[in-house]
Amino acid sequence: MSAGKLIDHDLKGVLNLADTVKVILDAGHGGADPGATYFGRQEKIDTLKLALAVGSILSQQGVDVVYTRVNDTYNTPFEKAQMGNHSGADYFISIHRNAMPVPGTASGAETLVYENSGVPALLAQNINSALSAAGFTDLGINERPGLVVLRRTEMPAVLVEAGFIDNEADNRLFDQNFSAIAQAIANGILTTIRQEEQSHPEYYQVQTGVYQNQQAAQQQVNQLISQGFPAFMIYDNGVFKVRVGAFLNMDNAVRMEQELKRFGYNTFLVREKAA
Amino acid sequence: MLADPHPDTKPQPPKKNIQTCATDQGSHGLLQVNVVSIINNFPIENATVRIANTSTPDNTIEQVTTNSSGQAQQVTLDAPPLEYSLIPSSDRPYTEYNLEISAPGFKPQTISGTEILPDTTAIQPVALEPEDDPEPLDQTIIIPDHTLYGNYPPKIAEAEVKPVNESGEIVLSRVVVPQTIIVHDGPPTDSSAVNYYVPYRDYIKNVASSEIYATWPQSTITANVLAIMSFTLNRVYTEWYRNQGYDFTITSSTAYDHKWIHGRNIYQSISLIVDEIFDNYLSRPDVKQPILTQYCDGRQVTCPGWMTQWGSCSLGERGYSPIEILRHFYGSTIYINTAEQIAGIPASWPGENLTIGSSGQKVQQLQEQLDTIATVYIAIPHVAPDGFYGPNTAASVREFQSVFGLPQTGVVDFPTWYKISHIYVGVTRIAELM
Repeated sequence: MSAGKLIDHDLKGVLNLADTVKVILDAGHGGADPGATYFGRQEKIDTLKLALAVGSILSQQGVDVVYTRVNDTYNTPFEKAQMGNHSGADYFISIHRNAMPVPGTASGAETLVYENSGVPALLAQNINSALSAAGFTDLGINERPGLVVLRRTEMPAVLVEAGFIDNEADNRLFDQNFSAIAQAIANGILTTIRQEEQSHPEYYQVQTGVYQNQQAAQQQVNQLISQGFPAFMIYDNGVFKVRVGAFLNMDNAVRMEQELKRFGYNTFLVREKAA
Repeated sequence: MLADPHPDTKPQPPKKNIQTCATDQGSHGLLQVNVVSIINNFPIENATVRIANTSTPDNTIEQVTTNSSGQAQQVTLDAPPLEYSLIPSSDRPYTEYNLEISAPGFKPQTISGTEILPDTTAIQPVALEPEDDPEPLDQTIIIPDHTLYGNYPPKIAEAEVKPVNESGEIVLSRVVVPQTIIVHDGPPTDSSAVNYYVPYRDYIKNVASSEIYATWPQSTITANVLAIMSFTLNRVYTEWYRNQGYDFTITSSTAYDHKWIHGRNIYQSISLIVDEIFDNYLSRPDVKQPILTQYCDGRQVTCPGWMTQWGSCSLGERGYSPIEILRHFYGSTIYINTAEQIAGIPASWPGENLTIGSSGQKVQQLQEQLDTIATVYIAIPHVAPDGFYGPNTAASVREFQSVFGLPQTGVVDFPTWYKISHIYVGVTRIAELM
């Protein structure tokens, strides 16, 4: 091995066999901000109850769930977006209930996005069709670029309007079919996670060294290339990692690892998501 | 009780035993006894081995004598039907024999319970103590029931990957096959239990012989040997017991580790597989340490997510390969890896077979080791360490392979190279200096 501190990988990788997906759930409004109200019924209470129910289902499915609030507290939408960004979550789902200027004049569920494209569109589509199967009229996906929780979040984000709080029929559905509605939102999220995993398959690389010094890493890359290995360097977590190959089939990566071992390298098989 | 359903059927007279020569129709296994001195691992010539069935210990079945390589001629012994070891059954699949070994100048030893399986060669190693040895050893070895037949506590579940006891930037060490395993012959907290120093390969062969049946399909044995080795190397790599303040590598308790039985016989089918793959272990992506592959028998005990020994047997019978068997139980991300280093050997495997026409430093190392072995195992012809692999070297290698139960090819392949290392280290005791 050439000079430089050899570090195989960060400790996190030792303990997590698979990358778990993290979802942040935002119960709309809270604290001094009740949201929409209707004959004493407050949006902030419905949203918290629903967010916790959705989170509980996701946790059981192995999703790492965090919340912007788990009790009756207030944060600005910007603060909530920041919580999402700092959490490292892969998806942001804000849960709300709708209202009309004239109560009782609308019914159904809609999902709001910053822009109706990409992963947010897929997520919104999956949630909304599941909600419609749970009994809500499908009001579709609508772009709302002005909403702070959609605009200032750095990950795919959607805002779910789970029926109208000023509509008796929607409230009846919300209360009587509550578990199915929570399950519908959770299913929409889980479906999206699965679809995303399939469209970005994992591939395998063989790591032969980790260096703080770029020169030392480059030296090993050069040596590997001179030996005929498809080696390259990546910068990750503040260190330079030397890797060889990228295989969709793990067994091919294992063969490469065996070959590298024959050359005396201290190898380590890593799993990466395709960008 | 209900009325007799066949009231008009007369009671039948007892059937005559038509199997007039049950012994001839019965099953047999072979026994090979190898006798060395416990002091220097030198073979003991003219040792006498008296063999009796454990149920009739005074009735000598056979008496054999060892040759200059310390090996008695193979003896054919009665064994139960093969089916007993291929399907879970309450019938004991092996027959137990008592051995009495004596040799001039050595204290006699008794081994009770050598397990003979049908259609299989059992190898019983014996280490005799010289008469004048000041440290008295136990002269009687009692081999208890096989784990698939007797009652042993089930494995207490553990995480298959251990937290590495370092923080921040860590240098992960290479996976090394150790020279010696220190086996604590009891549960970890039993401080009265003896610690045994056992060469790694001998340890694995002993465990596999104690945990599965040597009559099982080859791919099943291979899968189980891989799981046993990976589990063991996890203990070594993570220094599991040392980190808890103990002075051993592993225990012989089935609740914590694998079954290991002091002084027991092993089997040729298991021994050959271990010699072939002893530098392998099981890995998963993103994990450096060997995986702590746990298992259970699948009959007395079930264990979701782990390999079941009986389950692995039926998959092997259905033609599964070792890795297919392992992935069936441990999931698709498990794979077979190779250790980066083998500790306590004088020279590492050259990476390709040595045969007539080969030359160079590796050939010379091989010849030096073989020549040293030949001074102790006089049946093996001496070789001149000249670095050229000629017919004399091939003849010496062939005799070495014959003595140590390897296919007689005259070619030094991976198992032969490391068997030579193993015997060389044993008779020169250089391991103690390393």
